[in-house]
Amino acid sequence: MEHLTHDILVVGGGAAGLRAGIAAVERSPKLSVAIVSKVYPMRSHTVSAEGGMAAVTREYDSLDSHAYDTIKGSDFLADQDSVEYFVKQAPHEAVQLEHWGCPFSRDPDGRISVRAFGGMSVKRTLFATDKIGFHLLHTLFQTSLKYDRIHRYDEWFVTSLLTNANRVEGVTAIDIRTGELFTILAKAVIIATGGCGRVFQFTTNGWIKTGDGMALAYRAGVPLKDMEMVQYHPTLLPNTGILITEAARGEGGYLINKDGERFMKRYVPGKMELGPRDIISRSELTEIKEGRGFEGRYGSYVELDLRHLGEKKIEEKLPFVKELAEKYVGIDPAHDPIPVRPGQHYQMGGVHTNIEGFTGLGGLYAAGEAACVSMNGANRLGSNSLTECLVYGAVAGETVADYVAKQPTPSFGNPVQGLAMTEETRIYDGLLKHENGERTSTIRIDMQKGMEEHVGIFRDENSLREGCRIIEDLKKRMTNSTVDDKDRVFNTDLVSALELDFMLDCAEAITYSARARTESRGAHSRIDYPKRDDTSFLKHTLAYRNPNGPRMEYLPVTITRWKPEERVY
Amino acid sequence: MSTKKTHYPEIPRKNLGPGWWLANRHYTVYMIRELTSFFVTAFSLIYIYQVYRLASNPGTYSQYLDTVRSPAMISFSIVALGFTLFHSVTWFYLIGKIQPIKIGRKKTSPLLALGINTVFLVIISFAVLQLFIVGK
Amino acid sequence: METDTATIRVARYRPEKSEKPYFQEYKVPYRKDTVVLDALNQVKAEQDGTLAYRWSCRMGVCGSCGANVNGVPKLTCATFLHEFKGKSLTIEPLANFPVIKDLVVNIDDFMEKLLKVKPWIIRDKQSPPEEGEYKQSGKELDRYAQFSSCINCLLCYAACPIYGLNEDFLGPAATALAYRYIADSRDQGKKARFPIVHDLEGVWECTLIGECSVVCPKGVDPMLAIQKTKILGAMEAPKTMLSPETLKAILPRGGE
Repeated sequence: MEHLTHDILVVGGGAAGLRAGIAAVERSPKLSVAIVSKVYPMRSHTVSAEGGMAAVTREYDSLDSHAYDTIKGSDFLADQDSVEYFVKQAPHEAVQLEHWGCPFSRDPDGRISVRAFGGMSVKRTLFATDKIGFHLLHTLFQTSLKYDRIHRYDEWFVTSLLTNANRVEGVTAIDIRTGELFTILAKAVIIATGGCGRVFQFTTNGWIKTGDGMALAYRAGVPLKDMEMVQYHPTLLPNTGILITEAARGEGGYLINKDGERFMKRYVPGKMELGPRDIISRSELTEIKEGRGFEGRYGSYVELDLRHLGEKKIEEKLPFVKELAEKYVGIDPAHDPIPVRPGQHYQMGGVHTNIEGFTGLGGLYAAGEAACVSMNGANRLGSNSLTECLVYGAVAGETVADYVAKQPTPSFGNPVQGLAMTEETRIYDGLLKHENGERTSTIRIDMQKGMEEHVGIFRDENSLREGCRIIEDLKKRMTNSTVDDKDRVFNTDLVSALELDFMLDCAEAITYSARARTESRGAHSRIDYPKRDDTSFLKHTLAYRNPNGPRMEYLPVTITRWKPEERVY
Repeated sequence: MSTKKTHYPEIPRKNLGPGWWLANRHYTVYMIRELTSFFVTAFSLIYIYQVYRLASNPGTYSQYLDTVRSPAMISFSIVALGFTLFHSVTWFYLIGKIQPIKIGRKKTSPLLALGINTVFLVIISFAVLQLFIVGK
Repeated sequence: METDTATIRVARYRPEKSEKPYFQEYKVPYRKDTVVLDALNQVKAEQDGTLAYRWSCRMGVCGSCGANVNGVPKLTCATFLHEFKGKSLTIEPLANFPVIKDLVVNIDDFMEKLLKVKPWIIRDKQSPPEEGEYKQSGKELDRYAQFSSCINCLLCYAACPIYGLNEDFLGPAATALAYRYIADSRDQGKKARFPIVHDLEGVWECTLIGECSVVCPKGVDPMLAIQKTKILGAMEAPKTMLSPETLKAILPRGGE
């Protein structure tokens, strides 16, 4: 098997990965940094973020206010030191991105415009119309092109981490175009592969969001933290799951039920449509359950009404919402309300890291949605995640750049070589050659249905027990799965099977963690335990991989200045 | 060893053949627009020649006019007029696309530029025509 | 909503099975809101896992899923099946690119061209972020915003006959992005990019066919960017011609 060597290897080419790569070469220009991504970086799912990125940039705002909003939004599960670091670095990262060329929307005085966002007590979300993710990603990607020490492996799929005595020494990866497996050695690996939204059926997430990096770390013995904390976004198009940005409400949009009533007045009268996402999603389901939803071809829904904003404002501030509504629903939001229902959007949990992105396994770091540095706790505030990718991507890149300076270059000997061989056998002699098994697409569809039904917005012991059973069963079925495509060249069938295998690990961690947390906090809402329980659960769930379902451990939440209080808006 | 290094060929990029402009209506319209240049040039040359004849020897000018009145030349003129008008209209439209008229910060449709330019064309044409009629 | 059945004809190329590309037909169910990508996904999940194509966001912004649909470059996630009711529906890889497998094309050429136009902010002096953002007025933003909306889906390259005839042509998207930076008030890299965009294979190759802008799913209008680059170049030409460097090069040297 051929092997390649770099100092630093970043897995994932979205916001966090690109930011980490740039930070590393800026810190030590001599380093050789590889960015390995299963898609061309500009296809990464960062591209779909719409509303904006939060940072304190105005005189009326303060770091403490941003921190408090984030902590309260997290239902006090966020580690307050990581939140404090985040809000402190956020303005720097925002301006840096502007300097790199991001086409932010501007105020008449030329400053970057800000808009209101859910759970934020003042306007602090910077935006570029309603396509911040797209612009941020392309700005980062295009900027990354100027560093010739960044080597990209586009359309390479990482299949495993290679570890040696509690230290990561590289990865195995398939060059999808040729189907060849390579070993890429590195002194450190940064996981920035995003979330695992595709374990659910109804999600805003793109096809590529399969939790690869979470599963890679989980398999290498690193715990997944707070995986039960799954964010359901309140406004998805009912047929496709396409995201309609929270900025639509930030700009003044209403949520209405069948009776034409702004129903959020019953749930968070102080915030109305700008309440946090977990509360709004639950409120929508409550309205529907109590018979005040609309009925449609794709189930019940509520409506997002933007008509009163007028054509001009919609065109200026929300052009993408207009484009999506016109194309995929066939309506003009200036004249008709948009049908919406809640669905999976973001994974608050992820690979356990400390504030520097370090996972605890030598040389392994993580950032962005794949990681859980615990700044989002039990519920992330909209527009914090892009900034998180930048802040913690940069931290990981810089930390790793310093770390690798003192590390020897790994050599292609054992155990790494042996592990790579085993991986090759697993994929090409096992999965690819296996005949007459079950098609992977049926396993995937069953997983997505199971997760949707049993690990959704409202959960209880029965549903979660059933969820665990389904996942265990699917894992068994997975061992007897077959891919149709037996070729090497661009075998998307094989890649999908490997992704499904990763997703099952994520689904397992989510379901077991959810079952073990017998309280309701943030996005994790247990019908059988409707109260937040700070005595037993003011702590993070750590799920360690184990053959018979994960082993659970717990870690106390770091509290600095804000004592947990009841979360009322 | 299960991974063998075999390189399978890609289908190479196909370069377009000579008939590419028939593949799509837009391409064909483009080709016709390019073709109009020939007629515009030919008509202009004939016109310059006409002026030259008139200036150099008014005596033989009527002889020349007879040639112009021949059915072949009349049909050429009609065809040339058609192509010239097509040429003008497509370019007026393209001007609207390349330098869109802005009202405030909003760009207008290129059809507006087409309309305005066409109106100007008609006005100027009438003015010229008027000049000739008055001149007579 | 009623469900109908459509037959789609998909171009296949499986280099390990046969040297020649061929067509394969699939019957797929569809409704009013089914897009071509849904049909491909239905085939992949339920009929034939060997079919290869790229996709991710299914909302017209990641730029992965372009294909030639009945000869016209389209995002398959934004092309509805019902538009082809009663017509045949043929899905082929994007034209003007080499084909790796089935609908998957090789876009190395574009990636090189993108790098060539230096798609990043170039400034003589970078000010540190601590000094705050570079101010930009709405007007200044308008000058380049539209061209920054390119999602690199490459439909424009598949539609451009000039690119089809000449692979070395810089092409629509790369030029649009070059112009996006040239027109950005924060950028000072015009000098660095001019030799590239005004190269023999640069903007002057464009003869205003305009199909790039017709197929562009994001309203970028690359043709406009190309013409604007031409105008900038033309305005710059007298300056360049009369510059001390040029004059020194062409005038007879005195006294040497």
